[in-house]
Amino acid sequence: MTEHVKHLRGTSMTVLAWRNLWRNRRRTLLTLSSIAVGVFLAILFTAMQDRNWADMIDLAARLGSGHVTLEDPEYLDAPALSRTVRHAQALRELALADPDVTRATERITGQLMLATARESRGAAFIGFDPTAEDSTTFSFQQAIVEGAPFATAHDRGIMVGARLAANLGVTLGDKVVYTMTDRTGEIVSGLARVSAIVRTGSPGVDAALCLLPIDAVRGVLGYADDEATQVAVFVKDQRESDAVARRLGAEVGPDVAAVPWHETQTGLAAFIGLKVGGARFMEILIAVLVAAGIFNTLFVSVMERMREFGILTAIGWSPSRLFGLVMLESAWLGILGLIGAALVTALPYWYLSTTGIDLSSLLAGNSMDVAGIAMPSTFRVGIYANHLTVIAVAAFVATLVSGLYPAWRAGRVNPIETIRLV
Amino acid sequence: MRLLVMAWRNLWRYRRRTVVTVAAMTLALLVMVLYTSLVEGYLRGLERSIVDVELGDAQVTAPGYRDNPSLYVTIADPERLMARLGEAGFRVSARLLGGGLAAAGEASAGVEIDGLDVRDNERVSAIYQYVARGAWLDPADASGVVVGESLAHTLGVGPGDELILLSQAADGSIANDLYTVRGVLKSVGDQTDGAVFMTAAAFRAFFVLPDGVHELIVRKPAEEDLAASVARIRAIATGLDVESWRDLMPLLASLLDSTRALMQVVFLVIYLVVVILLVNATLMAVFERIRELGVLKAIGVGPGMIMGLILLEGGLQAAIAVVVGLVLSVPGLIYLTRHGLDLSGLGGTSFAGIAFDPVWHGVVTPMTIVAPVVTLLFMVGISVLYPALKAARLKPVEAMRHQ
Repeated sequence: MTEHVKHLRGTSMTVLAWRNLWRNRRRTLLTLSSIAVGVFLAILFTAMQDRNWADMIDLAARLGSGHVTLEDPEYLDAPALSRTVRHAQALRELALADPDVTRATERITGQLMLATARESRGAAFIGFDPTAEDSTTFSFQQAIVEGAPFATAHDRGIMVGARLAANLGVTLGDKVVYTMTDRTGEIVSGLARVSAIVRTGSPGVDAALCLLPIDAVRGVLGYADDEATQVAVFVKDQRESDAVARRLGAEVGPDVAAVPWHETQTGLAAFIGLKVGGARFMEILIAVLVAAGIFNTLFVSVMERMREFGILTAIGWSPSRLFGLVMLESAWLGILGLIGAALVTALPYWYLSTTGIDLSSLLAGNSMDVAGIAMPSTFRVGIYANHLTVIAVAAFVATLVSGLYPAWRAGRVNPIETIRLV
Repeated sequence: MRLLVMAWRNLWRYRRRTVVTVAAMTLALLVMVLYTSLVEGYLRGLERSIVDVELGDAQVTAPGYRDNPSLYVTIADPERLMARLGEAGFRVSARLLGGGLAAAGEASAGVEIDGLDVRDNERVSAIYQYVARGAWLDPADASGVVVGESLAHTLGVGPGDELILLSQAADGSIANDLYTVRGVLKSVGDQTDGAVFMTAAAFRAFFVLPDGVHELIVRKPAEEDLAASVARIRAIATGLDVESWRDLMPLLASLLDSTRALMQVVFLVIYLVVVILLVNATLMAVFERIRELGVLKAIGVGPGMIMGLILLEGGLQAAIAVVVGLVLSVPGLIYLTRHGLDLSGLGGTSFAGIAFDPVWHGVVTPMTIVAPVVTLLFMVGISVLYPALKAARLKPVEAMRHQ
C-alpha cells in the first residue's frame, strides 16, 4: 500500500493520465484524429502560402527592382528618367558589404515608345548590364525563345516581349526606333535591331516590355557612366528585405532612398496581405472547431468518471491534484495529437515540397498574374520554421485550454454525492 | 412524433455537449455563409469589371486583328453593321485603338490610345462611372482626354494638366499633339489603367484615320445566353471575327468557373473538422446509453426506430445550428452587402489583370444560403450514420448487461 501511494506521486501521475486516456480508446483516437487533421490543414495552408509568396516575391525581385531598391527618393511617387542616382558603382559596393545581400546590379527602368515603319507601341523598358546579371538577378535571360542575349552593355540590340513583337510586326534582325523623354523633357530616340524575343507566359509582361543594354540607354539619355535610375539589391531571404532596407537607408545618405519590395510592388504586397489575412482567419476557425471537439470529449470523460474522482477525493486526493490529473490527460492528448499530425503530414508534405502539383496544363501556357507578377504554375509547399513552431504551440495550447474547465469540474467533485452515483 | 419528442429530450439530457456541438456547427455554417457571399461578390465584381467596363459581352473585329492589332486593320463599313446588330436587339459601340508615347513634364510612358464615341459608349460600358477625379469625356471637348489610374501615377498628372501624345499616323507622318487631362479613372484592370481615352473625332484627327473602326463592343440582351448571342452576332457580322469575353480572357473565364468549385473544397475542409467533432459526440452519446438502448430494444422498439432516434438527434442539432446560424448571419450579410469590407488600407492590387475593388462587397443569392446549408446537412448525415447503425444493431441482452 505504501509502495502504491508512493508510486502515484510525481511522474506516476503522468502514467495514470496516460492509462486513463486508453480506457476509452475509440474516443481518444477520435479526438487525436481531430487534432491531427486540424494541425495537418493548418500546416498545409501555411506551407502553401509561405512557399507561394516567397517564390512570387523573388520572381518580382528578378523581374524588376530587386528585394530592395536604391533609387532617387522621389522616383517611387513620380517615376521619371530625370530622377537618377549617381555613383551607382559605389552604391553597389556599399550594398554588397551588407552580410544579407547577395547581389546588387545597376539598372535604368522607364517607359518608351517602340516604332517601326508601320506600327508604334508603348512599352516599359529595363536597361541592364548583361555582363553583371544572370538568372539569379534577372529572370528574362531564361525566357529567350529566339535569338541570343546581349554580348556587352554597348550592344546595339533590343530584346522584345513576344506579344509586343507580334503587335509591332517585327522579327529577329528588324530595326526599331525607341523614343523616350530625357531628363529635361526633350524627346530623344535610339535605333536598335531586335536581337532576341522573350516569352515569360505573363500576358502583361510579354505585351509591354522590352530590354536594352544599359550603356546604350545611357548614351541616348545623356547619363554619366555611373548613373542609373536604380540599384537593385538582392537578399538571401526575402524576409530580411525590411532590415536590409533600413540598414542601407541609414548609410546611403539623403539623396538616395532604400525601398523594400513591398513599397515598389504595392499590388503584390496588398494581395499577399489579403491572402495571409484570410488564411489566418481560416486557421483560427479550424483551431476553435478543433478545441470545441477536444472540450467535448474531455468534458464527457470527466462527467463519466465523477464517481471515480469522488473515490480518489475520499482516499485523500486534493482538488488541485485532480485538476492536475485531467490537465495531464489533455497534455497527453496534445502531445499525441502533434505526433499524429506529424505522421499524417509528413508524406503529403514531402511530396508537395519536392515534386508539387503541376498546374500549367490548366493554365494552357499562360500564367495567373497578381499585380503583373506571375503565380508559380507548380503548386508547391515550404513552411518557415517559425510558422511551424507557432502552429504546434497553438495546437498544444488550444488542447490545454479546452481541458481547463473539465479539469476544474473534476477538482470540485463532492465525494459523498458522487460515490452514491451508480 | 413520439420519436421526435424523445430525440429532443435526449439532446437536453446532455445539455453542455449538445450546446458545444451545435455551437461548432453554427459557427462553421455562419462563417461559410459569409464566406460564400464574399466569394460571390468577388466573382460578380470581377465579371462586372470585365464585361461592363473593359470588354463587353462580345467584340467584333476585322479578320486577323487579334493576331496583328494594327492601326490599318479596320472594319470598313461599321455603320451598316452596327445598325443591323441594333435591330437584332444588341447594344453596340465602336472603338478605335492605337498605341503611342504619352509625356508630361519630364515623365513619359508607352500607352494604349482608345478613341470612343462618347454617347454610344455609355450604352455599352460603365467606364464613365469609374472616374475617380475630374470628369469623363465630353464630345464637345476634342482636346480633353481621360487617363487610367496607373498612367496618371507614372506621369504625375491630374485633371487640368497637359499631356503630350506622340505616335505614328496612318499616313506615315509623325502624330504629335497637346491635350488636357479631363479626368483620371479608378483602377479597373491592367489594360484600362495604362490607357488614354479620347473622343473618336480626336482619335481620327490625331492618327489621320478618316474612316473604319478597330473594334465593335457588343452587349447582349440580359436574358440571352452568351453562346447563343455570339452565334447570332456571327450570323450578322459575316466575314468578321466575333469573340466573346470568355474567348478573349480564357484564363479569367476558367478562374470564374473554378472558383465556385474551389469554394466547395473549402466547405469540405472546414466541415471535416465539424464532422470529426460530431462523430465523436454522437458516438459518445450512443455508448453512454448502451444500457438504455438495450432496454428500449427489450421492450420492443425495433432497430429502425433506434436508428431513427439517433439520426433524429443529429438532425435536430443540425436544424438548430441552421436556424441559429442563418439568423446570426443576417446582420453580417446585411453589413457585407451594404458596406462591404474596406480593404483600401492594404492598397490596391489586381488579379489576372483585373483590379480588386478596394471595398469588398458580399452578394446574397439563393446559392449563398443553400450551398453551405446543404453541404452541412450532407456532412451531418454522413457523420451520424455510423453511430446510428451501431445503435440499431445492439443485442438487447448484452447491452443491458453493459457497464
